[in-house]
Amino acid sequence: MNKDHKSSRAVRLGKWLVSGPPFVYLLWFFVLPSLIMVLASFRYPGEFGGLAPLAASDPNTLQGVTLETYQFFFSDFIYSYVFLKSFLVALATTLICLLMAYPLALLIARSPKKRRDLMVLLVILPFASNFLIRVYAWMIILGPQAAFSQTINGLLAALGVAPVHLLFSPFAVLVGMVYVHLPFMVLPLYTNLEKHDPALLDAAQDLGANAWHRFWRVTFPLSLPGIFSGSALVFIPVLGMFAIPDILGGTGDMLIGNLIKEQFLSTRDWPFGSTLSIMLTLAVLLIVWITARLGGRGRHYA
Amino acid sequence: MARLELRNITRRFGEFVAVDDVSLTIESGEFFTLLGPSGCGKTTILRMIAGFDLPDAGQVLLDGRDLADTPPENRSIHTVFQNFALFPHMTVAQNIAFPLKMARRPEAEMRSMLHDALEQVHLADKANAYPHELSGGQKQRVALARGLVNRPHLLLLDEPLGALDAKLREEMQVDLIDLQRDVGITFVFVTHAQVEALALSHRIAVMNAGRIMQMDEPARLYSSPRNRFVADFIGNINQLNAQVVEAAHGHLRLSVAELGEIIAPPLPGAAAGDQGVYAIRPEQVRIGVHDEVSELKNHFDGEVHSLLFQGDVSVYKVGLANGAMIEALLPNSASGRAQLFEVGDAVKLGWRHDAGMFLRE
Repeated sequence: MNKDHKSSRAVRLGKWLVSGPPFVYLLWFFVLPSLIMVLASFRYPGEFGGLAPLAASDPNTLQGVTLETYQFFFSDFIYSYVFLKSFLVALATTLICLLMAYPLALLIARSPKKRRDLMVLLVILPFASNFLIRVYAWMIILGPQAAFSQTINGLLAALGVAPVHLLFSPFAVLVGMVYVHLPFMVLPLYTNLEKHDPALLDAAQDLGANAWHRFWRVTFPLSLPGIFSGSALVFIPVLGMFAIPDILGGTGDMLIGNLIKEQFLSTRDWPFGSTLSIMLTLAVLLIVWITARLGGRGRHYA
Repeated sequence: MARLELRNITRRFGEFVAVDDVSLTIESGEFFTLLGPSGCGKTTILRMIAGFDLPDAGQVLLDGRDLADTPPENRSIHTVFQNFALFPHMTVAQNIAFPLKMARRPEAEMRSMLHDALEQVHLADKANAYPHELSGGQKQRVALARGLVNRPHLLLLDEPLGALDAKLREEMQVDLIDLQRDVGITFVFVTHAQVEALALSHRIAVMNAGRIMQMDEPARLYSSPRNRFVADFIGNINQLNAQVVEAAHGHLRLSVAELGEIIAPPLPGAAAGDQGVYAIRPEQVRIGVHDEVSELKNHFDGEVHSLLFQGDVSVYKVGLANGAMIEALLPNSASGRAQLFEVGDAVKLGWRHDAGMFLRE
């Protein structure tokens, strides 16, 4: 009895030793800053950035606590519009990634075991080079002097259509987004598809299912958990992404991420930047919740 | 109802000949078993019947029609897979209805066929359960119902009892026999377990190294194996190297080195000088100390080497003068029978002159 008690205490101590450091890290560098952000969103901006004092000596300056930033957010349609646009870009990126990643993941999953590892390595190979360098590379590829643009515009000219400018457009943003996030869709899909029992497809075929039915009635429904996790891994980062629209987007292609960055670095309106961040966090949590509920249906056979 | 015919089927994988010129005919409504050790080609044959594999030579004919150009999904042949291969994302009812959906049966007909199938395997109360909520035996019954529901011409069963524990396996054997009789569909069963094969089948093809060693009814396979492989594979059998001394009209006289003579039933074509083995089932060997054994034509002195008490029977291993070990099976019908002999006892061993058989190499 005493020994059991002692060993359970040792186990508990071990658990704390293992989970303690990351716990403290997240508490200090994530929870605390998030709380500061929540508090900051209810303050006035300082004269030169930062926050206005809670109680200032001059009664004419802005001070104390306010809901002004939230009123401001909902009073101007432009912010809801940027949110909506960001959602649409994230949604489009997710769908394009899904359509491109699914056949690739399926191909890898059905390849001989030896070749699979190499193919997975190739999928994650782009991570070996810097993210910004890879995005800047697209500036060159999509630039007006590049062979790609020239070919497209040549084709358009042949059809009698005016030439298009590919770089600094929503198209360029989407290309960059898809390019950067594709592996995040391929990997969870592959992990899921690879686990499928090939006997199920044999059984389906044996019982009269042609290739179309084998895919839609067996492979696809069984891969839903992979689709959900891949989609979450693409959708959420794209929603907050600012670097790609900064580099590849035009001046009119501002997304939430750019808006938030601008509040902190250019406009120096910390309270409003905080408000935007909080709205973004809430939106992401809502999506995660919906995804978890939809994905939960498939949990028992995943 | 359908008749399946394999005509000179050969299948090679590189240098390896998995199935070597196999021909057989399975009659309509028959419970036919392909029996053999792993790698003997039985599963390859099953896959060729189902259509997942094609023979390099030969034909698969169903009711006289060559199936070479018919893909698995268009063959009226369904399979019960080794690990059932139930769709994990579908309920029991959805699993069983799958072949009906694929066949585009009308809604009303589908409902009644599904209902009948669920009743047949006693799973009506589990219709909305998912496979992971079922026991092994229930999964097995879902797989059977799914294979039978669309009334295929042929049902293939690939070691379907292998995943069940011993007790359940015995129950399922009885269920399988009943089910096959009720539905009247031709069953082709593949197994490496000879007990299962003997209990279930109308006919058995014993296979080894891609060839059929013998095709017969279970009782004949057991009592009259045609070669050493079949004798060895079906049940237990004692084997003694022997040479024919005299091939008389009604019997064979064999000589066993360092032991003496054995009188065996006649074998057509056997001649003096033939080398082979004399084989006899353990339950045909009698053990005694008295003259009752000595009166038998074949009798020898021996010493009890080991004794395995198994409840209903006791298995004795008795060493003979030439060093050979003979297994004898004695029923424990009389109380205290198991204690009749002890290890080390000198005993007499004997069997009737019409028991056992001579098998040429």
